[in-house]
Amino acid sequence: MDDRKLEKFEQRLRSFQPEGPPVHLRARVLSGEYRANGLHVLLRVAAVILLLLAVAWNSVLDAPSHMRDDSASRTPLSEYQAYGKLGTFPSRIQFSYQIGSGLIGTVREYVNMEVIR
Amino acid sequence: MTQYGTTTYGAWPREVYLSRSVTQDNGADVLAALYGRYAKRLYAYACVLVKSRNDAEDVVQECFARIVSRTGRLSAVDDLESYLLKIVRNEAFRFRSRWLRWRTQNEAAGAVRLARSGVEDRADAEEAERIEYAMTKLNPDQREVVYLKIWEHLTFAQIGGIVGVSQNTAASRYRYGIEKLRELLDDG
Repeated sequence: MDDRKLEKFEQRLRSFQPEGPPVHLRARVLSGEYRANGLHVLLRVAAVILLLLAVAWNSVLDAPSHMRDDSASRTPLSEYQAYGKLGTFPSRIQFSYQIGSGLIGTVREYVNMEVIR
Repeated sequence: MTQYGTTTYGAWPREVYLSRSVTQDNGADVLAALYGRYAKRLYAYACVLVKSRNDAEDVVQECFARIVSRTGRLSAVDDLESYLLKIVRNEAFRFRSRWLRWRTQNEAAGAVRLARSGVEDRADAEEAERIEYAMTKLNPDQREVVYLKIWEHLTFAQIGGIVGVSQNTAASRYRYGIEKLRELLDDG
């Protein structure tokens, strides 16, 4: 393409201009509005699920002894070892509860920091 | 009081409003002035880089959030124009990689919308649509360079600085990109 043709073609393109941003973006930028993106939404959903799980596990621990499904405690230890060596039934609940609480704490801290930011 | 600027293409203002004042009382005014001057161009560039206009809005918002958080550094920036475009580019890439959507975004990116300034008739609108469509058919690297050259009026050296390639590579991408655009637009 020679220079003259190129220049003419460039002029053809330049006769159009990109459109500006939508009006609402200005208010959004200037207000510094925090907008949760997909990752944050996912984290929040995960936090809620973990919370529900922790509550469920906790209710198992708090349930009267006759309502507990303690049949698992009669299972030989070797079967639990196959699930990851978590030990007996109560210690498995405790372990899951601690993991869940820890994760919830971490997620909550992260979300708070994001909101503050 | 800071005057709100109006965005004009082809002539980026040399004066840098930001200096060290954003953290002071008139920070909101300065940010508003910056938005008035640069938002249109930053948004259009973001549209070239990401898939949808919603994504471009997020990128622009992140860009301004970053500007505010880097106030101290801005006073030392010589070429504010390239600096801001580079921030948009980085944010767009972060945005794309965040969801591992690079492949799909890459295929459909470049949703910049064009319009003729002043009165636009039906033929103009159709021509604008053809150019928009042709832009989406370009290789992403070429599309970016073509956009920066045609609508940002940057030199190949500036483009190379923003994109992270040499001046010659930028020129080469532009040449191939513009050739393909001509083919797509049947420019004889």
